[in-house]
Amino acid sequence: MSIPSFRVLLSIRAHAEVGLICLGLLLAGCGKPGPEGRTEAAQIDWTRVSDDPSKTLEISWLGPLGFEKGRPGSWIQSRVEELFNVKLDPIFIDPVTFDKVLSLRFVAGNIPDVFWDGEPMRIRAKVRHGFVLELPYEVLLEHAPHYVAYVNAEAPETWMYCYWQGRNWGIPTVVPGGAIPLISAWRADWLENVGISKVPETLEEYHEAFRHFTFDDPDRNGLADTYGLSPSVAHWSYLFTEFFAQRDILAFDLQEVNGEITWGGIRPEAKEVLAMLRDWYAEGIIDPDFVLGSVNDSMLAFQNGKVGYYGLGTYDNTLNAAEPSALINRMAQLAPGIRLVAGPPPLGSDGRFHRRAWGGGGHVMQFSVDIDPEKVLRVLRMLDTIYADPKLALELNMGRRGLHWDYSSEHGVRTLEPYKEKRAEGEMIGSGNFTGPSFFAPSGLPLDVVDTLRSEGQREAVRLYSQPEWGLINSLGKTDVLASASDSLGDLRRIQEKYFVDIIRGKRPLSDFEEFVAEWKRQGGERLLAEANEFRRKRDEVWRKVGVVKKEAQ
Amino acid sequence: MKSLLPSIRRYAGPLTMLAPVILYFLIFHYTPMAGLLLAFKDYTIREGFFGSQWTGLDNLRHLFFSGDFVHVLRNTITISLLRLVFGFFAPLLLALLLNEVRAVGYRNAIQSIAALPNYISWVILAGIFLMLLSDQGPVNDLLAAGGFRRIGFLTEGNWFIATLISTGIWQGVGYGAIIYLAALAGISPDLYEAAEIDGANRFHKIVHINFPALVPTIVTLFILNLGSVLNAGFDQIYNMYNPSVFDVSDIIDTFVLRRIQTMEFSLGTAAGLFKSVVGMILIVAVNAAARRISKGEQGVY
Repeated sequence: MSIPSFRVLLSIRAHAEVGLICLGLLLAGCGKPGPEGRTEAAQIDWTRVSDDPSKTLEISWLGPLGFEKGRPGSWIQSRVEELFNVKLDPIFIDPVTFDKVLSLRFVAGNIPDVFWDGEPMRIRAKVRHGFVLELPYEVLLEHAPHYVAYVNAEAPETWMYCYWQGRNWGIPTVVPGGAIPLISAWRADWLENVGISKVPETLEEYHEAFRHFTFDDPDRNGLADTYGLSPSVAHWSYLFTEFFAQRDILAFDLQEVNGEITWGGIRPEAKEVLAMLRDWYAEGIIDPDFVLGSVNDSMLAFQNGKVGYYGLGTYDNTLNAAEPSALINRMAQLAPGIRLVAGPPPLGSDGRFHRRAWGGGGHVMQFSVDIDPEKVLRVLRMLDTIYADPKLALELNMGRRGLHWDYSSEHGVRTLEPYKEKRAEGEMIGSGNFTGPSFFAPSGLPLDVVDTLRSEGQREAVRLYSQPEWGLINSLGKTDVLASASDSLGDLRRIQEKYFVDIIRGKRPLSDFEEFVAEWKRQGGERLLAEANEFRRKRDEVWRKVGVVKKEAQ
Repeated sequence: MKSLLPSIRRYAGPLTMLAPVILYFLIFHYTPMAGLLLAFKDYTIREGFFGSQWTGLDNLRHLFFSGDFVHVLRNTITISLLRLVFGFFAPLLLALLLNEVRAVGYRNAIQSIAALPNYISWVILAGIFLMLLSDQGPVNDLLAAGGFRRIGFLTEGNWFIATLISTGIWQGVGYGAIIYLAALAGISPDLYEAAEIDGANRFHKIVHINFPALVPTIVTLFILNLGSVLNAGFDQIYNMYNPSVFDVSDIIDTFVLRRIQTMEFSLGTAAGLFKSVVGMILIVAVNAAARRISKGEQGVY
């Protein structure tokens, strides 16, 4: 949110407040100052709450982002209403103005019964401002045991996204597809033009291809106007992640090393990766404008033939020819001779593939502090029923097979007329991307179900080039779960981006890496890591409560 | 009171017309000032304005001592002062020059074109400049073709600041000139005629008539500009900066932005309060200085 909009918000708030001040003075009351005046969220005695299934409940429902063109009364909504005897009032908000609109709604006291958020920092803020109902773990275990087990199996770290001061403030959702790492896409015609017959697989082969792409005129236009790679600095998760992951590093995430949580970017291996990238930059194979990149620039550089490698796509949005909006089809429209091929990430020195992945954690569903508790139980029953039955989960995620979509091993899932257009599909069915959540069924489908929906080509691509097992995942899911992250994480990322970019571009000596580590620690990094290790104990406590079986340390 | 009533009656018409303006300021500028209290509270919406706990100077302390605030403050002041030094006189110069153009149509055209960028958002302007000035962009291509070294307009600290200042001037100069042109239009033709009789040429007239006539405007604008010295231009910087120039371009607003992405109203208010207090001190001090130097003839009030 930008500063100006905050000011607007503040002033609007202030106007309302001043009215109250005047009123308050008139009534000679003047609030309840002091600590004892703090309003404790009303404690609900859950043992006394019961849900009568025969009673129709009205629930206002602010679903996940990305459904701004949704309409009330979609097929999935009707299905959910019929199955669970509810009357849903869906709220669709444009993602661009989501924060602003939502803040204003909340500030105005217009809190939906159910709402979503994916940012632990914002989730905590809503709890702190008193908008959110506490949801004890025991209640979840009692009323939605299957759903709890599903979260535990797919992404237990998500429990901590809604943890605040020892208590639970929501229901985590999972998107198992998030565990699949990104894929490498190469220009097959370029590789052929420079005489490379095998898709690069080792770091040396990557380097070799980048060199040829830069110096051997891969597009045969007679101009030296191409580069090996054009990474993006627009988001920390984009910055050369595949080359850090090759050395087992998550440069901008928390990583567990020898039982201790540390920051990937300050490990000595990170320095070695920087040294390599610095050499590559000096060699001229990295697009010098990468440092200005906005979110799409890396993709555009690939699409427009400036570079022949793109490492930020998924198979579906980059290489899946059956997907009309995939990059491969857009590029074929621009220049018919273009051919793309998928590849694995650069092979690690341990002989295994590694690549950063977000993991299966999804957003968090929260309930309004003003909600009628029986509605909470109804929603819990909904979740439990849906995710205990993969067939039902599938139906409420994508609509009905034969009516809304069909499957063939050649094309995978295809939406049927009149739902062909992706947008129309979302509007009319209430569904989104089939691996992700739908508006009313908040978690994604398990990977084995997703796998049965894939075409041969998709299955092959995942098996060969982006296996979930290769994924390196932040050891706490998201660094933002730490309270001190609200304070320092923005600054720390800023410092790191600055040093890394300067070192790669040769604006600083490589030895400044030690200076970076010292500054990173001083500016809040040390505190962050101490908190992370402490937080892990709290996490284990929560995991014990909800019954997570601890996996091997990553 | 006795002496006030008759004058109120006497000026009832103008006062009625003034009322909406006074109301506007009361409602939209003075009333919200009560919100400044949030800077000293741990404000949560549910607890409300009164219920929220007092935290004294905690928010300000938090602002100043978290991260590298001194560095950020220094960047802010540097950029602002450079803007003031180089940017303040640009509109004045443009106005004086435009005033000398005889062809009215041509002058109006220039004036409109120069004022136009002021109405274009920095989101768009930044996109244009990023494209033009990037290392591989057309400007650097021209430099390279001419045998010169490519310049990191957007990636080298000092060049980036120069780019910020110059594009900022370009954007604001035409709009800023309007107020000077208005002042120039108010100069009595008698003065010019008298000067011509005395044998003054155009340059003489600029130096001895136009410039002195503009001094009150210049002083007023200067004082008002100083008041916003801690606003280094968030819109422009946020849209144009990148990791290689964070060192020199991280300003108070971007620093605060990183801290208030969650509903941290108190912290945002504390930052706003700090900026306003510094701005007010500067305005009062410079105004007093201007009045003293000019023996009470100049100044905003």
